[in-house]
Amino acid sequence: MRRIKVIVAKLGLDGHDRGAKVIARALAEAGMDVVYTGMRQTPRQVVETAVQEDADVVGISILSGSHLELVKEFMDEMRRRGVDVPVMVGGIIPPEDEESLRQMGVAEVFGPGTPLSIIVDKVRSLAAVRRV
Amino acid sequence: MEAAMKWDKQAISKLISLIEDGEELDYEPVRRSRVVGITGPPGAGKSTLIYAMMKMLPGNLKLAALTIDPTSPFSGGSFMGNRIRMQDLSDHPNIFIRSLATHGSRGGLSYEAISTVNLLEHVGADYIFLETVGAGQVDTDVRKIVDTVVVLLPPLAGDEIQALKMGLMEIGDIYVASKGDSPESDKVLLDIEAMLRMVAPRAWGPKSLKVSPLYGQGVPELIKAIEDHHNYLESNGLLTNILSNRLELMMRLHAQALLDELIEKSAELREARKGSLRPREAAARVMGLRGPRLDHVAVAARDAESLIGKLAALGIRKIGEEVVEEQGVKVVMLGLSNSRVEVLIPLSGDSTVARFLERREGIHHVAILVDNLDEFKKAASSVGLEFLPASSKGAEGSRVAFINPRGLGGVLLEVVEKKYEHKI
Repeated sequence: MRRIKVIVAKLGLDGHDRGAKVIARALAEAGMDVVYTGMRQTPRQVVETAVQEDADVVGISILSGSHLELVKEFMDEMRRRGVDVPVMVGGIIPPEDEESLRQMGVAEVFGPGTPLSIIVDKVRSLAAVRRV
Repeated sequence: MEAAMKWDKQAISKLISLIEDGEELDYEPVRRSRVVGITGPPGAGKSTLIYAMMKMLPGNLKLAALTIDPTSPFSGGSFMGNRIRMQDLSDHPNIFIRSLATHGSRGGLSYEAISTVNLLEHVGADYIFLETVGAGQVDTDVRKIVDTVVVLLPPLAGDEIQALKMGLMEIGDIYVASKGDSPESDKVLLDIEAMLRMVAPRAWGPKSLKVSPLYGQGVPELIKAIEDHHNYLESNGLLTNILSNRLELMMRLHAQALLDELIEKSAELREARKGSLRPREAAARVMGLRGPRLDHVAVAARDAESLIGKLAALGIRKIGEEVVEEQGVKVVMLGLSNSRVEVLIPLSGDSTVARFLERREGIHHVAILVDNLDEFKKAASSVGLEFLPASSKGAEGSRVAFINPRGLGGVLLEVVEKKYEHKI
């Protein structure tokens, strides 16, 4: 049986990926196949990655403050390409932006300090729903 | 599959997931791609080199990269980072990149990985780059399943003694000193060339060169060398053999997986761990190669032809026949998994089988294989069983004996010891 496959991606001009790597490692240690895209990805590159890897969940990390613009562009590209994969966003996300991100179709938003175990559990439940 | 044949990446991706789920896709594998294996130690620059080649190849070609990353034997998860070096090309319409995890396969290649190569070839990839896990000296299975093996060696990874070791240094068709912008890479190229002069000449003399993918240096020469090697294989009719190798390796890999499962569930494993069964003996027993086991069931029927026909319709097909003159009988063998049915057909009216048939039809005897006939005979005598004075030589140096059915619930039991059946 195929393991849960997660894409961990960094969108836009943002050179800090320690957080994304920590989360990617935690998901791999929880028994998942984690594809890390590296930094400075365009929304299109990440959507194409989700297509080619047949990802169950895409996790996007943004610390640059441009999450509203980048995630909007990303979600539009997902729809344009017809990719139906749950998206999680993490990073420096002000609480007041959370609702806007959810409006765009983001399934989960994680701010700083979210315990890794919660992220692992959320990925598992989102993947389980998609695999049904 | 139809959409995948038109290079619809979503469709190809879903088919690969089906393969990973253990499903068999229904298509005839073909040869149409140039399949290039890229191997070398971790950090040699394999992903970056694939990126550089894909970037340099004509944009109208369909290119696929399959990158394999190791799975943790502890958590079962994988951190796959090979894509990072190729992400620039991930949204190119003709390029498809997929990461696969080793998931415990030995030799770095899994059944699923080989099956995915076959699929990518079937859907029309012009080039398939297979990036191995970079396990180094054990990573040699790749040689059998790709057309061209490129071995990548980074600078400062050891002295020329490393280059003399067996394994990795024997599998390459093209040896590449990577990170050519480092002055140390010239030394690597010298070591490679010195090593290649020492090995016996082959029909295809391995090529060696230096690349610096970041600056595009040496990459056109590498692509040219891959082309040359492919033409060499094609003109010598060696390309279809590689497909056969893939199918063989897939069978072997799956058999190993089944065997692991069998061992896991076996009583022999517990006995071997306790020390009550020698490991060698336990291994042979788990595979059904030792201990008393069914060899065949022999039946006699008045209308033997009809019986054979009906069993064939049930999937129990003829695998051979033999005339045993001294018994006055023809034996038709029908295959069962791990065993067989023998249909006995009398050649004359005074044979034992003919006399048996005068009384009744049905099972004539049951034959079991034993490891040592003499020991078996001793044990049989100790419980009061008698042996019939029948001939004791069997085929190919095997020995047989028959136990009198009177002492054994009316069953005529043939006991067979086969010589040289399996070495354990």
